[in-house]
Order: sequence, then structure tokens, then C-alpha cells
Amino acid sequence: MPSTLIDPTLEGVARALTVHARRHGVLAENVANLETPGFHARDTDFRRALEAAFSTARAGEAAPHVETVREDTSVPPRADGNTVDLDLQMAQLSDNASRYGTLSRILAKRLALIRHGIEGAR
Amino acid sequence: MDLLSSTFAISASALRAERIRIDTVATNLANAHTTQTVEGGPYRRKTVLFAARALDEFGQMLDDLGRSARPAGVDVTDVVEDATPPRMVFDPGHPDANPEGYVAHPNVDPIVEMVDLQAATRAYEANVQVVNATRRMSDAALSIIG
Repeated sequence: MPSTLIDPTLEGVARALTVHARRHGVLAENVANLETPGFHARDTDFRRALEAAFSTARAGEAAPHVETVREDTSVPPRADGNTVDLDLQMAQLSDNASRYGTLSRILAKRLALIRHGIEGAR
Repeated sequence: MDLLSSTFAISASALRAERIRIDTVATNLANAHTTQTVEGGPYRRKTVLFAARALDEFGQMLDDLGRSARPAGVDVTDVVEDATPPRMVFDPGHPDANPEGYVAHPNVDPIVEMVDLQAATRAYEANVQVVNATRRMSDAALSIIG
């Protein structure tokens, strides 16, 4: 990883961003299937997803696929067998998007810092 | 397709599905008093069937490799007729009255339709919010360069 030569934080934050983007997709799918009978809500297992993302970094080769998306069993099924709770999903979606925003800001700041180091004070 | 643009596709499929549902409700309400159809008899209430979109083979392969976000989304698989019998109204003067003087009216209940319309509108709005969140995330990602 070339970026680790300069700053390991970049690689870490970038991987965390990917995990958040994936989770966003999973949550979006839940909302899309809000009215689909029998649909089961899913969510990213954050711990496993992050672990998987970082284990690849260490090995430096293609990691075996780890299933990081699991069924969200926190909500009992409705009469049509659907387990999507709109309020919960929107809250999670909003939380996840905020985290993504924060991480991208951190990444931007970090890059600005490196740029500053390269260019020096002018 | 990268992670976020496939999320846009998921939300787009839901917006489309909910729009078809709203169209169906509009059709039902528009035909709430239609006693003649080309198939004969009164108009019959239509309902939509939603199904979670399955991954195609290629998408599944990418997914197994951990290379893609979960694509999928939702599809309207069919628009089916409600099998509830028509509402019989005694109206002997009506041209469509049967020999006993009853007219078969559509099995459309405006209250049911309005509830369905509200639910579909809310679901549509929820998906618009998801699109907005995805857009903000894309903007955030782009601003890393800035």
C-alpha cells in the first residue's frame, strides 16, 4: 500500500469509509423493501466488517470473503412477515451518513496536513 | 458501479415501485364507479405485488468476491385484480342492471385506496430521503479532494 508509506491513518480511514458506504447500501435496500411482504431487514455487522477490512490490509493479498451482512432481528415481523422498521432504518441511515461525513472530513484534513508538510510554509 | 451509485439504483427501484403503486391507486379511484369494462362487468380493483430484487448471476459473483455493494432493490412483479366480489347496488333504472334490478359496482373502497395512497406516499418520501443521504455522502467523498 503506497499510502501507508506516508501515513497509515489514510489507509485506515479509507477502509472505514468503504465499510460505511457498504452499510449505507444495505440500509437503503431495507428502506426500498419497506412494503415488500416477507422481506427481512439486514444490517452490517460492524465489528466483523471492520475486522475484515483491516485483515486484508495486513495480509496484503485478497482476503477470503467474509459475510459481514446479517439479518437484523431487533424488530418483530409485521403481519406480512416484513421486519423493516422505518423509524429505526432512517435513524441508522442518518447516523451512518453522519459518520461517513465525519470520516471523509478527517481524511480531507489529514491530506491537507500532508500537503502542508510537502509544500512547507510559504 | 461503485458503492454509492449502486445505492442510488436501489433507491431508484423503490421510487419506481412506489410510483407504480400510486398510479394503481389513482386508477382504482378513477374507476370507482365504472360499471363497464372491455372484459365485461364492472371494473375490478387492482393491487401491485412487490418482491425484493434478486441478484443476477454476475452480481452474485461480484458479491461473493466482496467486490460490489449489495445491488438488488425492489420490483413490482405483477399487478393483480382483487378477487373480492363486486358491490351489488339496487338500481333498476340503470342500463347495466341485471334482471333482478341490481347493478354490479366496482369492488373499490375509497377509504382503503386513500390509506394505500398515504402509505405509498410515505414510502416514496422515505426513499427520497435515502437518495438525499446518498447524495450528501457522495458530496462528502468528493470534497476529500478539495
